[in-house]
Amino acid sequence: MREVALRLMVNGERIARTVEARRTLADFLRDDLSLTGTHLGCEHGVCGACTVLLNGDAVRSCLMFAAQADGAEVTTIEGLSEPAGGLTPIQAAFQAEHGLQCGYCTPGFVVSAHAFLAEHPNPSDEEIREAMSGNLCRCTGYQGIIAAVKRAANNGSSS
Amino acid sequence: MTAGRFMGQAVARSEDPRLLAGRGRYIADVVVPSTSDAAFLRSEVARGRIVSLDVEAARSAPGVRAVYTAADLNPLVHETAVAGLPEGPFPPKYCLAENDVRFVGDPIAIVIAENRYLAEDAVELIDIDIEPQEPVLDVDAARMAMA
Repeated sequence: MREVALRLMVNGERIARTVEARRTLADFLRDDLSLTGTHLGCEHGVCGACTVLLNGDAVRSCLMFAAQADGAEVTTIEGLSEPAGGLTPIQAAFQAEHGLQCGYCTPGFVVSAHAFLAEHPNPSDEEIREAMSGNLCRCTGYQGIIAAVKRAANNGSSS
Repeated sequence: MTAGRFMGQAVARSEDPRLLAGRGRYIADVVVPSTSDAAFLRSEVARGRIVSLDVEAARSAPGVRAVYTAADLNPLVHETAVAGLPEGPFPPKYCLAENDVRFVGDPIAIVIAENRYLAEDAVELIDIDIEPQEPVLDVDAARMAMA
């Protein structure tokens, strides 16, 4: 199987690895870098659980090859969290609004919310719904999630 | 009644901080040495007859540890039943599709391999011939003798 050399930044850290050409970015992050906060739900780009930031844009890491991230800057949920364990404003808003239950889809939602609020600091409800429509949750329902993104926006937390 | 720890006030969930930070630990996050991955061959039609199934090429594919079909597993697996429900005219349920497939996604064979990529490769080597049939879509159709 063909292998390719890969250099990229992941959560601010320089990474140089050799990967199989067909290895997905999601598997590379989870299995090779042990960043298991990025989750695989549907594995074909529908559920959004694998969402990460690629040069600041929200992308689905199950639909990309790791090799396509060569030279890029990747940020995962781990990179959007406080190392000491506290909650960022977006995460705190999710907890306050009951925007999660089992938590499996949650990193994808939090990453999507980061990318969205960075571009839309004062979103309308309609814009929030549209922006979050690429992530699926099967336990909470979406009201708490929409309210969490709204609360984060109202608190001025685009980061 | 007095207000206790859980009554009369909002209680913050203690698991939220780790789940929100990607520090949950789901089953796929647990690393166990030499764990195998599985990939399934599934029906692409809603109903059909399995005319032939040949998994020999998959069995000898790189990294494959086992390939199971109905012939291997079904005799070992007890038929499932829903406890508390009376005996009904339910069709027998099989571990893996045997003779026919009954819905899109009906599992037909399981490949166990060193990793998911090799398991998926081997699934593609399975030679299967299914003769599509008219699916049974509602209760009335299911009650017909020919269904």
